[in-house]
Amino acid sequence: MELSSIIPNYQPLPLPAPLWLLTTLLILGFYLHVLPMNVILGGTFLSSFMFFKSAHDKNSRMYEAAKTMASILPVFVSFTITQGIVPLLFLQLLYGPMFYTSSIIMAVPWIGIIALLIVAYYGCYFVIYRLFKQDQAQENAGAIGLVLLISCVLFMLIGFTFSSNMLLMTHPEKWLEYYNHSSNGLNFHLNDPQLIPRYLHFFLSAIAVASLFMGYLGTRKIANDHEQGTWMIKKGASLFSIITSLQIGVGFFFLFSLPRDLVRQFMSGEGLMSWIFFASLALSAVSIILGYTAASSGNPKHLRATFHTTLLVILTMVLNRHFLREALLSPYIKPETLKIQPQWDLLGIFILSAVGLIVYLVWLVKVSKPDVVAEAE
Amino acid sequence: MNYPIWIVPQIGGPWVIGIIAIIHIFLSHFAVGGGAFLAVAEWLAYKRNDSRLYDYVKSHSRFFILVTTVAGASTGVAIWFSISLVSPDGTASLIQSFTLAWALEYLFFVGELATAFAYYYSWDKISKENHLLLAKWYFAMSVMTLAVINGILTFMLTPGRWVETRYWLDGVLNETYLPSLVIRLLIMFAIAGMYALVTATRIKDEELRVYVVKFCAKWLLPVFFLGPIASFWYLSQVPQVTLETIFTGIQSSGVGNFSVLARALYLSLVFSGTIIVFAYFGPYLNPKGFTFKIALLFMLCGFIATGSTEWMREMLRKPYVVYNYMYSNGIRKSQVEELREKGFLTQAKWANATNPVKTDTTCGEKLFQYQCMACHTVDGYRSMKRLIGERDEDSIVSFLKMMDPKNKENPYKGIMPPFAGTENEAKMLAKYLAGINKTNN
Repeated sequence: MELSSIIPNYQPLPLPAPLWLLTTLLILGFYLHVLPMNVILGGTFLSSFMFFKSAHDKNSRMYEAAKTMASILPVFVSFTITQGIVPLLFLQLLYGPMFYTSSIIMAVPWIGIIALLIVAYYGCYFVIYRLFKQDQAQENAGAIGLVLLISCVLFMLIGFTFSSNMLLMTHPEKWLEYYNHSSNGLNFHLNDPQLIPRYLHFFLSAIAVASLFMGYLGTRKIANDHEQGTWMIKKGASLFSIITSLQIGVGFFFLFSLPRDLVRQFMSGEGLMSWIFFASLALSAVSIILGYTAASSGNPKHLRATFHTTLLVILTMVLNRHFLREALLSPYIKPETLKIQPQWDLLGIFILSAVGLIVYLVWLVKVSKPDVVAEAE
Repeated sequence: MNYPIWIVPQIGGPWVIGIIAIIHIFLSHFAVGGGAFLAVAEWLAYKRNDSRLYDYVKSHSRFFILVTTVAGASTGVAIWFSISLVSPDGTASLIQSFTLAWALEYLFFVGELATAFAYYYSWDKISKENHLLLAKWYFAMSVMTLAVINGILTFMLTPGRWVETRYWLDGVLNETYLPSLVIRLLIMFAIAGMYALVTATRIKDEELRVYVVKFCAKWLLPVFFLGPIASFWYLSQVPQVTLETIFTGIQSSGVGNFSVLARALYLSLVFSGTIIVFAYFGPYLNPKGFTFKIALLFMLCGFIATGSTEWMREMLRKPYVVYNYMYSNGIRKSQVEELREKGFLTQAKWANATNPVKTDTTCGEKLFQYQCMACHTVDGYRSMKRLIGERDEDSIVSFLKMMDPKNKENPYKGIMPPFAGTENEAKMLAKYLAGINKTNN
């Protein structure tokens, strides 16, 4: 059967802005989503692990670090959800025919994500409001670790479902078989050589980024509590570097799970796709070295350098991911053939509002900073 | 008609959206109205120089954050998930037309959430003036998200001149935009009052509890006085055919055959009325006797009223997903003629691909899935088994013929889309439907 006979058509409506702009917003949106996502997925894992490990000694550095980490999680869950709106919106716009179809095929696990999310999110709050008591002696580190672990497993399942659906949308040849198996949406796309390496690659990077973020929190703590801050920087940076070193292997495992011609395209050294790929490798190497430096020195400057390099690594990785998807989808749908009728006025309002929002957020940070006078009151 | 159909047994796909949407609306309306409530209550605490009231507002704000930022935001995403699973053509059309409007809403949403956290985490840490200012900004941001999404929601019922011009502003600033915005704001204040009653009834200090409970009840006053006027304004702007459907329903309700729409309207009025009377005699006149359990019961009432009102709003839009542009089953109005001429099954990719045998009955079943299942199920909600009853093939065919878009006398034109297929396909559908009670018993 011709695959084109099951790939839905786009709606006969024009795109509201030039394709390059919409693609940029998709990539940028996903980037802003993946940063806090890494912090919560890796952060629940890391803090849960640290609570279990330091349960016997609540005055330890590790216990304190685990507490700092767990305290910021709910706000980051909120960021992740909010920032998820943008890529979800532009994904639907540009690749809707593929995305809607694969989502319908695995509708039940797909919509089930929301239930998992709500439970995992409340888990993070539960730790703060129920389990963190004023008196540290009363805290039950085991229970805290367990709740965070449950949240972590739920976040992992959400990520796995995302990986599965994002892959299924690139495999229209598997759609009919799944749909014939269940038209009630009781399908899960597991049988895919890319799934495990892809998921593992993403999951490990979440732990690495969360570790580095713990180090970043250490740089802010160092002024009040020098030893605790330094401990967090050293531990965070060393964990980051170890996991990222392991990632080289996992990354290549992922790369070689891709179709041959795509591997060649990535490795060719020609064209933007390949350049970005090599840039991401080079930047990763730099971040690992910087990470080891920060781990041995405990110097906040080194940590910050690692952190900023990693922000660039993630950006290039997000670009790699985008090029991969574009290449996998190009035989099936072509958003570039869609008519474009720019809504310039609305775009203008959007850009002005975006600028306004940034100004507002800067003001907000200033206003909500603890005020010495008010504290004295 | 472009996509595979997600078959949800018993309740049908639309109720998946419905359940999630009703929960989300009840939470998100609190997210907006509750912002105003927090700002006014905090201002009042400063004005009265009442530290107990201040403490109450502070504890209420935690409840507010926990409800709105977690469940409110997540169910908002869930709506998006569910509409794209149940109505992918409709969702794709909305997204393609209003991408940037949604992107704009996202900006305000970011502002709203950032302010919510800044506000919540800065209690006792910044000056009173600034803290109150944050509450006001929160409310302003949340109203802006409403102002954008309200445009897209009302567009679906009254797309206005967009149908001809395809210009986004014609779609967003449509006939029902303003009345709907006003109604929603009024409801939001009322819902904020109801949620606050839950936390207010937990206050231990009796004097303060009585004061706060009475204060919360007052938040229901605006909708009491202005709600009917705003509703009348709203209804005056909805399409004429829809109104006829409501009123034929109401006129015939005496004989026990009133329309679903009229039923939804009754339900909404009964529960809203109950809430108002309840609020007046309960927390307003007798705040002392108003307990936590009654407050929860009160919330349940509010939930049902919200649910039936939203259900009615959805019903008003029948048989369209975007009025005069796309029917509930994802078929565009402009496609119907062509499909009646060339046939549906040849054009609908997935209906064709998932029907390899192509007997009359399997073709009929596909036609049923693609043209009827957006609103009906086989044996659950709006069950076809029940509706078909003893009807035979011929009577079903004449029913389908009556739904010809050119038939001015068609009594179902405000509620059901026309059959979009050839005469032969109508016969196949009829054959399948006529057999539905025989084969599956």
